[in-house]
Amino acid sequence: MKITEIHIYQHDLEIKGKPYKMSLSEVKSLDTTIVEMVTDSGISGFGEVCPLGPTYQEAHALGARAALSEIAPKLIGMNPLHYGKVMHQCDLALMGHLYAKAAIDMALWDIIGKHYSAPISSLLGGAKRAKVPSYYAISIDSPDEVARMTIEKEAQGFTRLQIKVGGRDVEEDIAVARKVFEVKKPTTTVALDANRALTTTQVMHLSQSCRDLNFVLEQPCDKYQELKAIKTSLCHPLYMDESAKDLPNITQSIVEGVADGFGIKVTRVGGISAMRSIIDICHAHQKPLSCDDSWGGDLVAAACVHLGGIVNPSLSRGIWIAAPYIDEPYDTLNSVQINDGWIDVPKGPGLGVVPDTSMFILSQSYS
Amino acid sequence: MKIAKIEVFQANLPYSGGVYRLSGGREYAGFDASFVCITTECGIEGWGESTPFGATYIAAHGAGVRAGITEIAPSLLGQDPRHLDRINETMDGALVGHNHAKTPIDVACWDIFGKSVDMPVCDLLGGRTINALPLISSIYAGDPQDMRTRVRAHREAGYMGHSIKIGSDPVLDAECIKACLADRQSGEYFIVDANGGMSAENALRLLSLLPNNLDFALEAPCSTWRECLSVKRSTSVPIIWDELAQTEEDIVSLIAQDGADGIGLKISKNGGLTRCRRQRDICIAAGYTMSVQDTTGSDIAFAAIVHMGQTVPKKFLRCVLECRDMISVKTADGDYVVENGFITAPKSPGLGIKPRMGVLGEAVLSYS
Repeated sequence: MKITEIHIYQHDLEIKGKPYKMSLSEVKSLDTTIVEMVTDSGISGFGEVCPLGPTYQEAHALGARAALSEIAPKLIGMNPLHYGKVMHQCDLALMGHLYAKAAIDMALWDIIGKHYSAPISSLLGGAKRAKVPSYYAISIDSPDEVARMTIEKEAQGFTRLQIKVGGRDVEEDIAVARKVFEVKKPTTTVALDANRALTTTQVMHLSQSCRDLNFVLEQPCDKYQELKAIKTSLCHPLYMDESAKDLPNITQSIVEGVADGFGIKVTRVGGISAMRSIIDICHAHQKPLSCDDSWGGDLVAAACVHLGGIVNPSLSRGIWIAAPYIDEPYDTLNSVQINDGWIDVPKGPGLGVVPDTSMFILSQSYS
Repeated sequence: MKIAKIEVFQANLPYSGGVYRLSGGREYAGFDASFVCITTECGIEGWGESTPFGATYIAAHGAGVRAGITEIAPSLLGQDPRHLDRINETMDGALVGHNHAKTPIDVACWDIFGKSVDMPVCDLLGGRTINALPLISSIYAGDPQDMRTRVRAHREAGYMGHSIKIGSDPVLDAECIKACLADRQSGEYFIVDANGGMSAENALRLLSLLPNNLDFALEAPCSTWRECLSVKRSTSVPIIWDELAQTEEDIVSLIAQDGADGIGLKISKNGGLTRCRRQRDICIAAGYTMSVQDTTGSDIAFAAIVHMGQTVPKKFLRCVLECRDMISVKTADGDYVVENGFITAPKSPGLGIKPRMGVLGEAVLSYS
């Protein structure tokens, strides 16, 4: 089998309802990039990457397409079933830019799944359950509003909540945490996610002030060194997200005892192939993780869910997908959606989602 | 003073020596350069350049430089280009990371600042030292005797510093190092640069194959932090970090872990003159040596190198890179004359360069 054509599409994912607000930024619409890889056997595979704006992490949509323009022409004629060789070719074409390469990796796995008539989760060892739990990320807001959302989301079936904090007086973050614990069900688990916004002093104060509340702190500070410095002063488990950039970062943070768990973004670390290694490492070290992405449509969501499916249930901290914020699915029949807080692992071959490319704007083509 | 217009120019800069070979089979025949011209409301023009070393030296490439500038440029219109820290904050607020895209903007603002106060950029960065700056050669990997010949040619041109590229096989690399150092003259400085191409095992095998009286520093032996730290702890040869030292955070971590003896300060890799100034000061505080370089580049990139190099005290400066040697096109004119292997920053305002518009052509991007 040979890769004969690669098409790169652009699509705007408008956010349903009010803008999505995090500590350091606010977004209304996200620019996503879709890769279509065509083979001489009639099978096509799809991949996607959708940075959460240009300031969430070191990734942006224009940069993804610039990177793909560097890489894609060099993959024509390669055998997509040999995904390791193709990804090595990507590294020879461009250093770094794992997020852009993730879209290629995803398309390769989609082709492989279609070729063997198996869902990606089966190729990765098999989903450990037919559906996986999602979690809901509650945007930065007042204590009362966050409490109202907590009750609403619990009623919708969510068993895990991620509460966004940071970028304001830390006393307000503490008030939010207290209010959530007043109203939430005892079984609902909580992560407080500052998306890098807090100083070390603020995190220590927040943690000490809330030592009676059983939550995990996710990526409170910007830099790994800051997380390392405060780790032993915290009363709460520390999860890494933005600082878990790649496999070496993740292994280092485990060895150095800094991370108690991870929120891993599939495209940030380089796609499905990289995630498979990371999941194995987390299993070996008994580190819980969530399989997420910063944003994305049905293709990114399907990749997250296949990966979430292979995580041991005892270590799974949920799968976040952007579906609740998106009006128009790429595939009306097989769209990846959250039902009562849970997501079905797609059963179709490959990703199990076949996008309608007429929705997208063609940006580049290579053959 | 306000930024009124930002233009981006693009040029392909052919490598002057045919094909440049780096460890790991990386080959470059030319470089995709981006140039930024910023014009103020009062009519002052400033220039900067970002030329990645191919697409596989670090995570930077020409198309990515321009994609990054597209993201950043609109937010800078109306800002005061002399307020460099504020300019950099605005850039960080528009795009996380991407030093290679921020550098030409930062350098162009320094050029404007200098012209606006009739001072050379080096004087704004702390003031010029009295030293002429020694240039470092770049000896690409090859046959040991051929490399020795190329070192000799640079020596005859006055070069006191030599960067020897290695990273294919420990036995061959050892022969290359011995050959390059065979005719070493008093006062010469040798960097053996693997560009992250070796495993820690290969690096240690290489070092154990060498006689113990060779005077050189080993740069970027491996591609990951863990491996480089491991090599540093297992050898008495000074270790220089380059590709892995890109930000203030990297350098602070490096010092905290006692991971190096010096760094390669490359203007576009390390984020422009504002960030290089900060990193220079962190390195001086830690007692680290620096060579001031860039990933590559033409006359405008070289001007930024020379102005930064001119501010580093002699004790800490280990040569500057004559990147113009690697390029067969001239993109700007200025008083940048190499005399017997040494250069001094010009005294004219700003960077002291005048771009050749015939070479740079028409702007490929423009914001106003």
